[in-house]
Amino acid sequence: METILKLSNINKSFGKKKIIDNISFDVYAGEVFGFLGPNGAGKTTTIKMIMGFLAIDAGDVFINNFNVKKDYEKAMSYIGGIVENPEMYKDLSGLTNLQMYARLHDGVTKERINEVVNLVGMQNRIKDKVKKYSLGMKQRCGLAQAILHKPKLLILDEPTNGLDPAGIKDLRDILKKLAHEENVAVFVSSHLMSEMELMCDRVAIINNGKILGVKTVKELLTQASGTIVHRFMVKPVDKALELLSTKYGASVKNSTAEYIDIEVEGDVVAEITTMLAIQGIAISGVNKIETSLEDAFMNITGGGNHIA
Amino acid sequence: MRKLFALYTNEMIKISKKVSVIVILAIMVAIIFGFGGLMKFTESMNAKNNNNYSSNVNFQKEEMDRQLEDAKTRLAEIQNKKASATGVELQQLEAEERSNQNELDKLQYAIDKDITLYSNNFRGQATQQLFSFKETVSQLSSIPAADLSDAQKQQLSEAQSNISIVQNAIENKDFKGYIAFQNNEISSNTGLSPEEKKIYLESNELRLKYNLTGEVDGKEFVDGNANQYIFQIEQGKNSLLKDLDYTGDSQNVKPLTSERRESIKNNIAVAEYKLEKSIVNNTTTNNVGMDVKSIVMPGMLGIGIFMVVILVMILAGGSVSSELSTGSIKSLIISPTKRWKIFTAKFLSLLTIGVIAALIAYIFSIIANGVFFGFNSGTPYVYATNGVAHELNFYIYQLARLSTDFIQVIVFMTFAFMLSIITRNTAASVAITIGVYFVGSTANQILMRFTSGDWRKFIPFNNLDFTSKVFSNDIISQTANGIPGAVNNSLTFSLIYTIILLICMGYVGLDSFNRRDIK
Repeated sequence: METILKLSNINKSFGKKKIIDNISFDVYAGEVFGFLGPNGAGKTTTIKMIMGFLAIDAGDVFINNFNVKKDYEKAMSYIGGIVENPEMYKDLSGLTNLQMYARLHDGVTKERINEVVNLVGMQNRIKDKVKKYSLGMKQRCGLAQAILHKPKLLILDEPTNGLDPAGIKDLRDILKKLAHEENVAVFVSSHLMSEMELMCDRVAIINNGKILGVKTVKELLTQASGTIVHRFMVKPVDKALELLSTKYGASVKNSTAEYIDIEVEGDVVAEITTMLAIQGIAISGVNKIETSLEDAFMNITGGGNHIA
Repeated sequence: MRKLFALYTNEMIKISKKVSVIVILAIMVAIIFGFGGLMKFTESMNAKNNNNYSSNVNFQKEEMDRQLEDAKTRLAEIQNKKASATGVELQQLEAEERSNQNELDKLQYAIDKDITLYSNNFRGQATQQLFSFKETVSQLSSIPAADLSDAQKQQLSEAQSNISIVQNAIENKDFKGYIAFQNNEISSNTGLSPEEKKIYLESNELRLKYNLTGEVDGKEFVDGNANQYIFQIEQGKNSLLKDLDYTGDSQNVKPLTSERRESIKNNIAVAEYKLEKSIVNNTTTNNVGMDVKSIVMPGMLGIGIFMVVILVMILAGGSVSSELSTGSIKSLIISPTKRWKIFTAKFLSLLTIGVIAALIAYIFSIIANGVFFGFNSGTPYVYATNGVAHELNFYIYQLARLSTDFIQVIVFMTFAFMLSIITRNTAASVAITIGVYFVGSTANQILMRFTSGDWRKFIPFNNLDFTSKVFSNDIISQTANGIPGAVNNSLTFSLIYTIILLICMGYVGLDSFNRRDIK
């Protein structure tokens, strides 16, 4: 696999506060790479260092094997992206904005501009001034700008902000197509775990400026779902707990006045229900609780950003 | 290079879509036309209220009448006192009476002959001279002939012969005769060296050549410039002769430097050229038939350059900070261009807008001037190199003046641009720059107070006025340069100073822009 983006031992401090602490990871061509973390974890700071907005205190960033510090212009020519909000010149039309951006890159033709405008579905409004656009339209326009020059690395910071559900689906399709068909390395940051689950091939999880792990989405899901939890809706709960305590006491994860969560495989469920039924306990339902990337994420980060 | 040009093109597109640019340029054009109209109105009012010179003649005549009455009263008083005086007091009173009588005779004579005494016309001057001889004669005649010394006797006879010559010249309006008499006086003056005599004789020759009688058809005609040029030539020649600078501060005459010597030679050439070509600098107010457009055009361009400064200050003050605050800078940083290129492109685009605005001011000044005062050329600028005078076309000269004024625009633009990067605040950058621009002369005086000697040369405001340094022969720039206490740095010094100043400001701005974290 071709490495398009390589971060090695990146550090950044604002004043005395360390924002990014020695992070390293690689992003390959042809994958959608998710960069997950709660608010304030350091996602945007990392992206800004990759894109040259912020100086890198220590460490190196390589884009298509060009060091950002040494071969700035070459390295940057392979990047397209949106940082935070898509920022354009509001007094100019979307088209003029694209043309201005195209001028700064080699080999962007008029046809390419039209193609991209059509791809993001902005052909009807592209000649309007940007200040008349909604946030979603700005996002589409920003995306058009980001992919205009066919970058090898596409970096999108919270790209689904302001998009309606249909827009999110379109975006997801566009990104997957770019990665899987056109071999672009797509780097997407988000705190919306459910989104990442649907979009990404691999994810890096960042919290408090440290990378907690880089895994494929499948690995994360199985890691989280290695244990299966069933929820038993029973009455009375205390009597049921007492009955279960001898054999399954260690497996009980949680209990409320309504139900008991037990970590057991599916084949044990029948055994437990029989045991409870014999003792005359009313069972109103048994559910298998699905785990998601979100749970995995909460597990890994310990439930979010702890404000120190 | 290609990227720099692309960035520059983008910057120009951004600026051209700014409403403030159009508004300021429109205001500028409107004010230029308004100023032209106002000048036209003032001129027509002046024409109605009679012109300067005849009112001056009337004023002089009234003044002479008043003086005549005064002299009569004084004479009567003296005669009254004389009746009761004796001895030394009587002698004093008699001397006073003679002097007063002489004054009275002079005024009466001038009034009778329709001569104005207090201006450049030759008969007025001759009359003054005539009566100073007459006074000598009357004072000496009062002494018994036996008591006169030989020197006094000679003085008396000379005065008597002079009286007839001068009186003859006045009554026959004989300018030539008068000059011949003057030349004779110069030649026989034992206090002057042959070289000095030559200078004064040459001046008289010029007066004769251009017939500078100070009158036309026997009437007062004030042509102060011609005499002024002759005086300049005379002064310059004197300076060169004695190797002392008489053209500067008369209280503190310094030896000539080689540079100063060169410039005096050139000034003489310019004055001679102007005399010959009768290119009278029309900015002198007592000049009949003065060309209004040669004053109005620099005025219009002054307004223009003022608006250009305001425009580039506003644009430069916001060029980086406004992009930082709206976040649009991101789309620049994201592009594969080094920051110094963005910086340079922004600077060049601002410079371009400044140049375009200045050219608009120039074109509309010509149009406005043409509409109100006609499109014919105004007074050309005369300058000299190596002692040879050259002429610069009026319109080219105005453009050249505009260019030297533009150096100031660049300085203030760079200052605002630098502040825009450092402060990240558009309002602060614009306010500070406009503040510095407006309080410049006041700030200069305050700085002058706290500095002394050579340090004063390094105050920025002492180095920004290039127009008066480059076009030193222009009376407008000479008067504008007359700020009390200003240090008159040489052109080379100011140029080097300004270039270093620009490089420093540019470096500070660029360095800050390179290091700036875009948060």
